[in-house]
Amino acid sequence: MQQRPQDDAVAGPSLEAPLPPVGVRGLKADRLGLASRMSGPGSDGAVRRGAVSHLVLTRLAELWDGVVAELGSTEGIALGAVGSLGRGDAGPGSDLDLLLVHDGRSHRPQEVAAVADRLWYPIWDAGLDLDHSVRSLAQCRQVASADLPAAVGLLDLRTVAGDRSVIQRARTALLTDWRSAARRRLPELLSTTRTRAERSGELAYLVEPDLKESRGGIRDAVVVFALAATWLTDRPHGPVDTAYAHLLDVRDALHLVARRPTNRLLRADQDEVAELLGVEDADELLAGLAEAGRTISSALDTTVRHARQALARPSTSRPVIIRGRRSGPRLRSVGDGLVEHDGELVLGAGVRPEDDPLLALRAAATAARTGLPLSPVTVTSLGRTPDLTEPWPAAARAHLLALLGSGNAQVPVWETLDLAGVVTRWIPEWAGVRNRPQRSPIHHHTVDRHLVETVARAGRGHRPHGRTGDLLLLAALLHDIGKRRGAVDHSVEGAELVPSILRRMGFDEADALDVARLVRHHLTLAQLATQRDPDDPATVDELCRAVDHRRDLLDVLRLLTEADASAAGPATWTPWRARLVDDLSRRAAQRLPAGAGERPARTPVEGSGQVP
Amino acid sequence: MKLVTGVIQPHRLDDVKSSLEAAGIRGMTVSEASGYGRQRGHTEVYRGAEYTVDLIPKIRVEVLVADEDAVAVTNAIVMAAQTGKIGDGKVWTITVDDVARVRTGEHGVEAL
Repeated sequence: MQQRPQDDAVAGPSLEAPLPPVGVRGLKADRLGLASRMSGPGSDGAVRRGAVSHLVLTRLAELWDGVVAELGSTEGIALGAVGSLGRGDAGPGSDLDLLLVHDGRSHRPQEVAAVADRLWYPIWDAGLDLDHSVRSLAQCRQVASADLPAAVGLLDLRTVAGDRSVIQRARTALLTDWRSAARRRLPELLSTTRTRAERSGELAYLVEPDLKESRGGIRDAVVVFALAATWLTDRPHGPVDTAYAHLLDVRDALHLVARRPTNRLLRADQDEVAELLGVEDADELLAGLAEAGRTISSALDTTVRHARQALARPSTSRPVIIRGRRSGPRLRSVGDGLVEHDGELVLGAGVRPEDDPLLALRAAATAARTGLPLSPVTVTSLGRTPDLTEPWPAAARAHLLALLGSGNAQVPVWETLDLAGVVTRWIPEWAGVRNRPQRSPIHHHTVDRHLVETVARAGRGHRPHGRTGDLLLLAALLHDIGKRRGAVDHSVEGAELVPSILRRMGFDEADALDVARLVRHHLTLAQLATQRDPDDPATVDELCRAVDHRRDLLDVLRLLTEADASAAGPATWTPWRARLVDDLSRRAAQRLPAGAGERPARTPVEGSGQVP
Repeated sequence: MKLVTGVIQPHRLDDVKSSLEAAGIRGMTVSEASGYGRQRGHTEVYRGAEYTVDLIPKIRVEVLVADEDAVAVTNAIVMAAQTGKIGDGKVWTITVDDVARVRTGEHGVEAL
């Protein structure tokens, strides 16, 4: 007897679905047609995926009916789905991940094999991509135990047709095994995510991203779900679910545009995909993907960290009672109003974010200094801090410079706070470059991430102390702030933005003008060194004019040039290029002896400079 | 067929490209190179650090041409790269047995 997939609560489409012939014949075209009719600007992706999943499951159930008619009883045997179909997220081109599950005793092996043949061949004949297997209940558990990708996939197992109790028993056993083996499997799971990220790159920063395999992509979201299924920890919800749905929307549109089940969003398809989704253009499409990728990537980090913390705790979870009172959490103070708890930075008792405009900058600087990740709850709290007064107080500038000067440690801190919307409150102009893709082949990152990476390189070990060091960090942070939509010359437009940003932060006029000059000329040294004759006095003259005939600015520009180029990508700063840049810098330095044109030292910002 | 290779000053690349385009050359390979000729081995000081410059940054330009075009291409590179100073570089030509275009499988002059 046919059993439709109503047990897994697939919502049937409210609109008219095509009346299908029996089985999977024509399913490929029907699925594309249905998805196509339900796509377009403003369409609801979740409803569409539910409808596509329902169509596929219904047609598979019809196929099942025909196949098992001669079997007599379907007791002890069932057809299950895993992968996107198992999650109810099937796209217009998704392959079918199907599993024929049997209890190992109700039917003879020959009968099971015959059922499998009669299921798989029509699916192949219908031109559908099929990933298939036949397993007994015991074999399901064995495979899940030995093969991690299979174990993660089997967590989504759902009934298509047949004996529901077989699928439910398999599901229960698989989930129990998954939870009990979490300690053993977590390192392997993390290793696979790392390997995948190394192979496929980060979704947020790729110009032609793989929506599924990239870091922050669909598969990482599935890993987050799998981690939550261990019961070691919950996972972030809300924005993560929105990000996952967005990736699926883009994947669905890509399948329709490319007319094939690809997950790599090539440039050639981006304009059409953007149009289908109602997005302004390809840049906006990539910016939306960057936001989604960063959100999922952050959720993976957070969920993994919490799972590890859960595993590290003693297995006896009973609270410690001392003199009739439950003992409090172990807290270690790390700064003014900030404490370490369970490997994360959290707010201390009595700290009220609503009353402390400096708290976000202080927490960011402390997180970068200590290497402690900000707890998700704390990040949310930091979003409630009041705006800083303008100009910023000296302590705010000190925290900012301490954060920027902490090298690579500031990257995850900045990333976390930017996702929470804190950075654009510090620097509203940041919104213009946020998630903005770069089409130049030399760049590996979006504009905003490139800025952060440049700061990280500028903040490593050998930067100058005092004012010149501060100028370097600020110029690194803002050198591409002019790369906004429609910018003609980003150096010029960035230099126009800088003074107002730095005045708002309370830096003095001389600092603002020096950083603006560095932003205006951040490409000048590299361009002169590689494209102009270094023996021509006019070349050195031009460089000296660019740095206002000041030796201190020349030295900062040299460091900024290296930080910028090396942050762009591994091929951009080579010994060959360094030699050319150094040669021209040396020639200009001979023209500008140390101290030439330098401004008198200003009062240093308290707490700025090198961070231990 | 000939392979014309030029090792030139980096800042002459734009002029060399323009000169080759004017000579009807539509493709070339450009790579970073380091080397030295007669100007080898001098010591420089920058930011307090003394270092010996024995490999000078250069640009390597390679062009595959039919036999009859080799001299014109060589001259185009020489004329565009020349500053008259030591370190201007070298241009040389070697014979190529065969060339295949990967996309179409064409061989010989057809593949240029």
